[in-house]
Amino acid sequence: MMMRGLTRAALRRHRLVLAGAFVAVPVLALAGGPVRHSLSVGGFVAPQAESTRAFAHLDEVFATAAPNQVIVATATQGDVLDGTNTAAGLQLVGALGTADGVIDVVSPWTIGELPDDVANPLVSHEGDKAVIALRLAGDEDDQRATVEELGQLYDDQGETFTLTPTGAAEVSREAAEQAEADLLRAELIAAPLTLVGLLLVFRGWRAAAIPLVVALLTVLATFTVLRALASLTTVSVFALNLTTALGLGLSIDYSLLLVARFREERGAGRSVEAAVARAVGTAGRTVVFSALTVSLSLLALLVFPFPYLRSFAYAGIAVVAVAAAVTVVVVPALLVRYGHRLGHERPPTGIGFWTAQAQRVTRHPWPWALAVTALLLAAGLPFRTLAPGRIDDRVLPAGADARRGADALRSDFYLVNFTPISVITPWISPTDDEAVSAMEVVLLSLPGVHRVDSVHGFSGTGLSIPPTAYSERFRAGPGDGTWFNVISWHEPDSSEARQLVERIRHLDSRIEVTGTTAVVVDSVDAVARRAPLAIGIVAVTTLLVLFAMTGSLLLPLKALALNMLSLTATFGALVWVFQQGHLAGPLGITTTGQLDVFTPILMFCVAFGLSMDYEVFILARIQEARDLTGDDKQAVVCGLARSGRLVTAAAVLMAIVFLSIATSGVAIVKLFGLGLALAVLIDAFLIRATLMPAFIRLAGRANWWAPGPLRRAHLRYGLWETEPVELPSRSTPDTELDTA
Amino acid sequence: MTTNQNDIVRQLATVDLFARCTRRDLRIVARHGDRIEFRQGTDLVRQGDRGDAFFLLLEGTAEIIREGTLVGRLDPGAWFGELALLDPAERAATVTAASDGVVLALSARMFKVLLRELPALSAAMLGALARRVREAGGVVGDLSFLSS
Repeated sequence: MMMRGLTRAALRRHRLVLAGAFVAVPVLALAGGPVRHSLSVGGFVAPQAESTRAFAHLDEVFATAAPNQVIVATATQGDVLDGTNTAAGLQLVGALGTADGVIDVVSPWTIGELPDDVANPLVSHEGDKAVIALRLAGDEDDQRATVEELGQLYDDQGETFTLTPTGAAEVSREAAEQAEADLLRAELIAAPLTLVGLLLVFRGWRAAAIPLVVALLTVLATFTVLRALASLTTVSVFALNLTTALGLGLSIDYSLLLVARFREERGAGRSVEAAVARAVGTAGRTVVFSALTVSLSLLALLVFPFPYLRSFAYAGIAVVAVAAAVTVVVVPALLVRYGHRLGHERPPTGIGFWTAQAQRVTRHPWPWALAVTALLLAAGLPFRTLAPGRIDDRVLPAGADARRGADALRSDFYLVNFTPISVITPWISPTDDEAVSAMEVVLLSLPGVHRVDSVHGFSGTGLSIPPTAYSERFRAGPGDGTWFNVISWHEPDSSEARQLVERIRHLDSRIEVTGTTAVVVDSVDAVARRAPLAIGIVAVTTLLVLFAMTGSLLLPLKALALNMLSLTATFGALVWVFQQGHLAGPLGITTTGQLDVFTPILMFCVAFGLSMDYEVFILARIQEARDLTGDDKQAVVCGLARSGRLVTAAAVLMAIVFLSIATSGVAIVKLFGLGLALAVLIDAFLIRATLMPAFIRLAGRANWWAPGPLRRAHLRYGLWETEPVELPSRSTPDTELDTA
Repeated sequence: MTTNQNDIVRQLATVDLFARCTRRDLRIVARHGDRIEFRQGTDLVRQGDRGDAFFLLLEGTAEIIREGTLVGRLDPGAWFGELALLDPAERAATVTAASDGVVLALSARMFKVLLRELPALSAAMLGALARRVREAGGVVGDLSFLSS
């Protein structure tokens, strides 16, 4: 009924709808255009995680924590501890220490007196570089603001030092800036390629312009929604990449579906108005079903406690809902206005690829099914070695400041480590030498521990440095306890370092642990703990929506199984490239031996939704053919022949958009873009063109089976496409759809 | 269910074709049908057109015209349009509204789905078609008797 109402409105008031759309563009551009200024560069930590609470504890009680901004200062002349350089260094440190947002500064000039035989750990081997470690206050967005302010200060130091900033806050800032710049570049790459693709697919500039109109409205409206949401909760700036990609991709998919059906109906001899009505009643409803399945897939991201992942749910659901709404409201109005110039769908001459493929597969379903399944499983094998971790500076391109700074820390310094495991012991007083020493000994005895910093100074393998000014940070008020920095031999996101965090946490239930490694442990745990629920939500909602659409029990299960197979192959390929490092050179990425823990679950929800998109497109046509003919085999061939070209075109155009996103210099954005492009192409060409028809052919009548009561329930309450019936003597828009 | 659908269900319950259908069946038919109001003189189907719907006359009357000749009259409860769907062909006659009225239209697809899913409807449809064949056979028999 709602769709009929929309159709009637589009037909009768198409001028009003088009005028509304025309006015909406500048209004939404003004409202949503500045969205990125409202978005967050953070959201990667769970607010309730132990590591987050422990960070807050250090901030509040000890007014410090592990450094999150590190500056590598390279002297333009001489040793950094030379008199001139020391004076300049002290001046710089003084300026940094009084800057807004900086709560702690550690430098080689202020670390305090060290024994003569101990080299200053904050000075490089060659003596020409110094490390200044800062703790910036607040969340990631506050830190970003502080980092930008500090940039002015760095520029003033050009004569004495060359400053290269790095550290978590700097990486976060540079990654966000790079992603924003890359987004613009991706749009500039995607736009002309997509336009050429649209012209080829739609065979005319008027029809090709329709998805661009839908995309423009969709993206601007979603930006407006995100801007409004950002005033209520944290929304990640990275969600903009998804908004742009999905906005353009789904606008193409949905418009293509509607326009293709319109042309088909025109080709069958129907008037513009009748063709619009039938296109909305059939393809328009398919768009709504598809939007529902994609949205429900993305909804699952809300179960995760990370604002970063939730942001993709907000952006994804908004962009899908808006794209579907614009498609079923604005596109019919455009078709009524300009449809007579869009031409008809020419009847196919000869047998097209999809018809031939459908015939091949339905003739020999077993060999095709087995071969493609084996191929996909083989591609998915590397997924077994998935090692989830978190991103570090290597997420940035090699030339980025934060990357160069971190590389200098890794290669030019000895003993320096800015990713310690911070261990808070509220019950140990810093004045209780025995208890402090005992804890030091326990911590040093754990495997992989290289050094422990405490109120007693620096202790480690063959190392004992008495307390310096630096050691005062381990003291607070009476009764506040103390804390320790544990330095490991292992990389902060390695499995050994993570085991070390677990061991420390098991030492005493009162211990609070934080630091990079603890954040990684908590993030991986939270994702692993909630992933089954998210996957369950996606699976159950998919089963329900597909049952509501088909009335079948088997087809939804088949869709679920094939989507899982498709995603396994995609994830396998991503592990092979981004974790194991194959093709890392040509792709311009630096592998860390781990895959960002958020990306697989994010991609699962997005790619699953997109797979369902194509599933719904094809299944709708197969079901329509089956309803009309009652012939299962013919229905598969007919359904694929009618929807295959459309799905191919939609998938290729969607892949172009995602590949444009993948040109980003930020590794996680590259991973996301490349992964989704791969998922879409595997889905369109291997799953939909081969496995899906083979399975439907093999299952025969069982495809459509359901117990009697469920069949009745589907007839009564299910989601059905309906072709509106037209009376022959009614041909004007005002009377054609005068139905109740 | 909307009031409209309740009205349709009540009207369907009085039609012979749905006599064996349960109320639940009738609700399903009502849900998938388009209730179309028409004015006197409207062509409901036109001879030679491709058939893409089945019609049930709920209110008003209509005339069946073949090759410009009036061959029959339809009253509320009558149905038409099924032959072109069951055996795809052009419409065999034009049906024109003799008064203002209402039809319930089922698209070709939903007509076939409901025939498949509602055994009471398909049995009634088969029975009605058999009666028409018999009546047509009687006419042929009468004509052959007269001509001999």
